[in-house]
Amino acid sequence: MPRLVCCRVGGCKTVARSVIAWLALAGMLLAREAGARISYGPVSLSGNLETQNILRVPDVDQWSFVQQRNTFRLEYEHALVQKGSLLGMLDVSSFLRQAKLLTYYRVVYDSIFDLAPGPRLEAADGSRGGALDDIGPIRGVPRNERTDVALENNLREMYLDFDLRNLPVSFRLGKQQIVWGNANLNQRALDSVNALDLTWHFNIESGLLGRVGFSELRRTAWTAKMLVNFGDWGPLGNVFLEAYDIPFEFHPTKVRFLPHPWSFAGRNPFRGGQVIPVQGGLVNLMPCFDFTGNPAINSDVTGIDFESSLATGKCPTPGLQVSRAEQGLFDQNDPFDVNQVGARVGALLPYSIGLTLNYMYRRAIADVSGTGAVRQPAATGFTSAQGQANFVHLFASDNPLTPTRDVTDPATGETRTVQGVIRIPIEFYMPYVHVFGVTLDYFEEHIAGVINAEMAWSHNNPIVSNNIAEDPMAVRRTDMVLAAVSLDRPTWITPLNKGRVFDIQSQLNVGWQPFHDDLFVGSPASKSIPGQFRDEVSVDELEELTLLTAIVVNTTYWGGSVIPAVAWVSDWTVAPLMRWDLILQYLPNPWVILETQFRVGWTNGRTADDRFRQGFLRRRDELVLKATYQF
Amino acid sequence: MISRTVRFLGGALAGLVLLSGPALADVSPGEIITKDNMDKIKSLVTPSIEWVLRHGGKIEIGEYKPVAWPRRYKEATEKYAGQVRLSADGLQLENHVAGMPFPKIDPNDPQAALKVMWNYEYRPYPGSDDFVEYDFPAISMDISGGAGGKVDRVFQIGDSRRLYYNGRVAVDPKPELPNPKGFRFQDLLGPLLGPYDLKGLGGLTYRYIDASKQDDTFLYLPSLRRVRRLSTAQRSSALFGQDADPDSYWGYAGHIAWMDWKFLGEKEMLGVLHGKEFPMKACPPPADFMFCDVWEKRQVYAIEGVSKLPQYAYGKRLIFLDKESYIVTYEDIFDKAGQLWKVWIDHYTMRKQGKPGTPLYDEEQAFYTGFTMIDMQVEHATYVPHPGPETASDGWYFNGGADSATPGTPDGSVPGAFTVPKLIARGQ
Repeated sequence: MPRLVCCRVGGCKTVARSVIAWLALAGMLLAREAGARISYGPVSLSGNLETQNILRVPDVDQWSFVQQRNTFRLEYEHALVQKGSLLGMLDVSSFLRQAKLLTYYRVVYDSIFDLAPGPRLEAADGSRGGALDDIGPIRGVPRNERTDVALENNLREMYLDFDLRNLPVSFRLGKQQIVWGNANLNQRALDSVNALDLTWHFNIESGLLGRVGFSELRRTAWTAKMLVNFGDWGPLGNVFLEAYDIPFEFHPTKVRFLPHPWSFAGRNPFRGGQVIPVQGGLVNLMPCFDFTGNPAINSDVTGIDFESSLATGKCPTPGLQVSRAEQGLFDQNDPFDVNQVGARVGALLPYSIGLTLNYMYRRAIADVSGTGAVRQPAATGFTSAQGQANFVHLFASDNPLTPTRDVTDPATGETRTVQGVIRIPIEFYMPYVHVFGVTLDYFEEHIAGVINAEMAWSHNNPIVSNNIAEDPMAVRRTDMVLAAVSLDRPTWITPLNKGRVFDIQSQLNVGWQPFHDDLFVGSPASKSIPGQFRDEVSVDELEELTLLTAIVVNTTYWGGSVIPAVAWVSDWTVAPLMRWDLILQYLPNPWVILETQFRVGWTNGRTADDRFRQGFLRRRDELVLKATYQF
Repeated sequence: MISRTVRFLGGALAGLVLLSGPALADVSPGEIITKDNMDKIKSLVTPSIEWVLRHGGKIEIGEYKPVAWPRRYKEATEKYAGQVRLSADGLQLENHVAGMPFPKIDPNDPQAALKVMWNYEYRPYPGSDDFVEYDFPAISMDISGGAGGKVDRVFQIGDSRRLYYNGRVAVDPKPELPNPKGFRFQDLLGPLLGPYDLKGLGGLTYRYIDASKQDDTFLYLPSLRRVRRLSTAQRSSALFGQDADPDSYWGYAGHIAWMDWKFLGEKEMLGVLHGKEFPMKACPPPADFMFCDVWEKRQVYAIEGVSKLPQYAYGKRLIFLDKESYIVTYEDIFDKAGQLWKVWIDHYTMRKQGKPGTPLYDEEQAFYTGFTMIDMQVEHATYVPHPGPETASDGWYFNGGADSATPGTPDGSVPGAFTVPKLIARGQ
């Protein structure tokens, strides 16, 4: 992530130039006629400028300013081949029908890191972490570090589309996202080619139109995709084959912790400088992973700079992997390690039933329910103070530090006396899995609705296990089925809206763990995280069967310039909860979209401020105010 | 908000009264009609057009000009019309091959309304085999307040394309494409080039000859990045931020068998079939939701349609179909309470060439230069010129087949272009 160009690094002139460029761009956009496109021959530009503000309101008398995000999106499209001519210079009509380049660039500045709001921000366990009330979770971070994380500068997509002239084949080559499956509402059974970047706003950020939802969360990858349009085959219509290959990169789910307040509302469990209890006392956690997987004491890694690590909370030692909660035992860019492929065939069957059959061979990712795991490469024989066997590997006995030392946790500000340093011999385990899937869609005339169904069966999926006797690596490879059935039905409710229907989407999400064991745990709110949940024996175990229902209703008023929507989601098993989203969008003119959202959640029979809500949703009632200028 | 004007002018004045009433005055070519002298055309229009005039619209009276059929369509009609029969229930044609099924309408025929509407289904224009209008805007605006339209949405549409499977007279294979599934036509809409929040959106519809089969409709939604199957049950609901519903396109775009039709009669009325303006030109404010051009007296069929579908938004449609061309001059739409709700007004110009520098055809073509749809109850309108004022081309292909390639559909109008994989391939 590039650093922000600012005066601090001597870039005042650069800033001034940037401001002038932005003003010039704004002037150019404002000077257009209503709705006019920005196009220059084969080139067209489009995008938006958006500001999003999120207030977290866990209770009626509490609020926290958790996000002030300013986003600029720019799409550049270039029709490279038109009417058989490449850039108007070369006749390629004999083999190309068309070719187009699209790039989508997104730059984000989170000025919440400059505003550094007060101490209301909380971790998922409900605590403010001791001295956090005094220093504030953002204010406590040095300014230069805050500035570094405030800017995201991302070429989200850049691909070349082209159609062959004499074959019904088209290609998309480049950085892109692959979206399969047909379940819309938060069930990523087959939409699992690209993992999510949950640093954007976890996975609960919704939206109505445009660049919203998973479209903005998926971690795009350099991919080759081919689509063959077979046309009709006997009774089958619209027969197609689509296949992809992601040869050079794998991106697992990306998570950030506090002080990124809109993301996962917890502190990095592997952050440097934290003090954790183990048998025999307190130790200081070193933020280096032993990616060798060697459980031997101190492993064979030399040159570990324990003093530096303790002083800075960082891990500068060469050869040791810094914790980013996203890297496993693989080379991220080596095709022998990360190449992933998939193919699907689709057709319109008799009676107009849409069908696709899907296969993916990919690495497990953590944001698809229950997949991905943290593995302990070998038994350590060590037991933590909470009784979790094999939880950490203690290096206190061979610690080069003098036993007993006062250490201040940089996140909590708490100073405690530790007996040594530990390093965690774990790996992020995201092995290859086979995924087989099927989708169906059908318009049922009698109920006047569309039925969509999707099912994915993952084979050899990694599941975190507490059954150390059978799973010494703390991971079980098992099968998993994710499915969803939905009904979309536009419905007239004429007393409320005479001119337009209410689009009602309802969906049932099902997860099935056929080889279930009580010792398997879900993620991320696992019962194995000490102190996270009161009723640890029943909350967030990985259930054999999980059910989630969702209903979304929206319509439009006033010629479509007012769009209200309401969504209701309820998880009936893993962590009983219910969430409501109320959205109101207003489009006063072709360029401006004003939107307000309010989302609120409850747990089963518990109040909104109950600290035992599901980990990532608890106390996340939020008010969103968004304004967008689009061009 | 229901304007008092609409309440006043509601259903009582609509339809039959006007159609059978005597002419109060007459107009001559060259006359300009505004709200100040609109009594002169009272017998030639319905209250919806008076509403437009009352809100600043202007009508220039032009000479009547005949509309001829394309040669091949005319030949097919002469060849096949004699053998065509309408089934007893009126829901399907028997022995129809191509051309107009019932070129002679007997007003006393109890099936006259159905026959007129089946003629409309197999009308000669704008293309009997395929057509595409491309690169045009749909401008949605609030017209309350009387100071001119306040634009709230502009949809820039890449393609609106149709491929007919039967009744073909111009492009091989004729008269029918290989058609084991019984398609009447396939429609492709999009991709939307703007606004940004809908950019890339595209739709695909299959219409079947068999009236008992519902349409199949698929929509690529850029926010989901997926092709979704759509319910086609509620075709009278306006889509997104505009006033037009899918059943109102072209005046009427549903299956003929989905309505009960009533023949109200023949009458001389005003319509725009030989517009002077290319592209269509909006009136100055406050009537900038409407085009200003030359209207001519046309002999029309007046047909009333009441939907057989449950939960239809409208009480009835009153369609005025030009007798020569089977073009809808305009259409009044009433709510369930019988009050005038919306009007769809078409703008056509018949010419061999859209504008200088664009293709020259050997016969006159019906350039469907645009329409406006006005919701008179909430005072909101959608104004759609095709081509748009910024479009360099004439914005149309008529019976172009594979040659009607556009940036959005480089294959042209061939069956392979109207497929789900094509929607997937161009999705972004």
